[in-house]
Amino acid sequence: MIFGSGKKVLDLANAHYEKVTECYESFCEFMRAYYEPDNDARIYACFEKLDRFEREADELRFQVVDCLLTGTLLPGTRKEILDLSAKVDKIANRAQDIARQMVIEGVELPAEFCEDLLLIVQYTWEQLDCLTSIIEMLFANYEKLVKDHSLIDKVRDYESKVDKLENGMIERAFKMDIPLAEKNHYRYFIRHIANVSDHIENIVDDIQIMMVYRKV
Amino acid sequence: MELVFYITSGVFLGWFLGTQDAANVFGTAVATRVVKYRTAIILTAIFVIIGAFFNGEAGIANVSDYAYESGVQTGMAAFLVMLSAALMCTVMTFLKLTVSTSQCVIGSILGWGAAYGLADFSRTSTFLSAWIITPLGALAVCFILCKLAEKFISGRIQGLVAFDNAVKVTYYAAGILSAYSLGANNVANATGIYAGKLGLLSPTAAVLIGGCAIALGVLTYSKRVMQTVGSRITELSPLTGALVVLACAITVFIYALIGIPVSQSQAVVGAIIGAGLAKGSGQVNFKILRNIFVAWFGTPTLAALFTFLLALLYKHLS
Repeated sequence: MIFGSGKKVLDLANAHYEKVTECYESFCEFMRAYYEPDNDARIYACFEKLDRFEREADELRFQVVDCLLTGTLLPGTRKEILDLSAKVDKIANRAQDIARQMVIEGVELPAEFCEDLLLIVQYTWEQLDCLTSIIEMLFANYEKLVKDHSLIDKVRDYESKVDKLENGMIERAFKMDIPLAEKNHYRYFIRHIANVSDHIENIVDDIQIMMVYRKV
Repeated sequence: MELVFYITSGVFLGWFLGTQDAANVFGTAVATRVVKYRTAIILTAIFVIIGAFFNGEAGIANVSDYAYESGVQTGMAAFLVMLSAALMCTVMTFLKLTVSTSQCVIGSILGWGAAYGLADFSRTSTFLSAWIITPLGALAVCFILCKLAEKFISGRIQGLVAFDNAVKVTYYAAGILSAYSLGANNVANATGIYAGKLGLLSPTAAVLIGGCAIALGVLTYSKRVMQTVGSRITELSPLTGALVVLACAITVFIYALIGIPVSQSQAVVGAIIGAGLAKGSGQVNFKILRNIFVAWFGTPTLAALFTFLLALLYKHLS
């Protein structure tokens, strides 16, 4: 068949991105719950919700791959959608990974980092919101995306803010009177949480490359 | 039986033409996996025959007339001229040199004419000027198509799926028109020499036999060339690649209407430059241009020399 079911692929891809967004929303909830005292039940409930959403996101991604394997859309476009799905899926994977480590290892980040960490998570959530809008425009309203860079600029602004918060926290951690191992431990976790923001910015960079290549 | 013998060399040349020029028709689409190879060769074969049947007679009349006036006035002469052209094409391809069947055929006819004191250089120069204008014409057509696409497609097609479908439709349309043009323009190379005043074949028989010979070449031996040559222009964006093929098809079709066989491969080079200029890149591959320049003069000269010697040998033996 010449035209195939391209729309079905995009519908599945959009469903996948929405599921990843829900997953990260649960991660935000998880982080807020983590810093509330005596809240173990809620922490575990949030973690299980996050875990479930991550599995559902994976399931949707496999359906996208299955649909692409039927040969619908041009080979170049299939590769773009496949790469995009894989990269967006990593957001859910990383959120799940961070939450799992915190629950299993019982990580205790200092209370003085709470505000900044929650701010990082909030900014990353805003970036993800922009990203899903960018992808929606890429699929349905390409010309608008070419002309209007405001969402792309927003993603970059948030990433800069996250960088500043990240560096500030790491600096404070290394000034604390604690063993080096503990400082490195804090640095690892702060970076791990902040890297989701970097990853989203990288996805937006890749989308811009796709836009350049698609130009007539 | 004699007729069958005389046309074998022309049929072979037609088959050879099909194996080589199929790459210019759907090569890019196959190399980028927009169109399956099997679909490509079936469509090419069908539309080559249709193009030859409906628009091949102008070229047949022109080439047959040129050949007759150059001394190709017997069946054996026609057989030897086409054999010489076919051998030249095969040897040059084997040596990995760029070859145009149109230029080989015209050169061979000229060589035969020279051996009999009937060489028509003024008419040959008409063909030569058409060969020179072909890549320039394709350049201009592709430039215009790219600018039109930028103006009318860029802002209009918003969705990813719609854009993909537009690219697919353009590739199919370009490929079909290209196949039609290939048949219409190049059938004269295969069997033009046997028609007209020589009268071995009627114009209808000439277009059908020539068209079928080209189609057979496409169906039986075009895969390797299609996949290697076809990937040559895949560095362009998907839609631009399709527009390059479309520009070549239009250019070659115009020459089919005029009745002068031209080279699709050289048209592709011109179209690619046109696409580059439309994007403001302005980069030209001078090595490829040099090869085309050498081909304009070198190919017909070599073919003429070889056929001249063959004609002298034939004269001596007969």
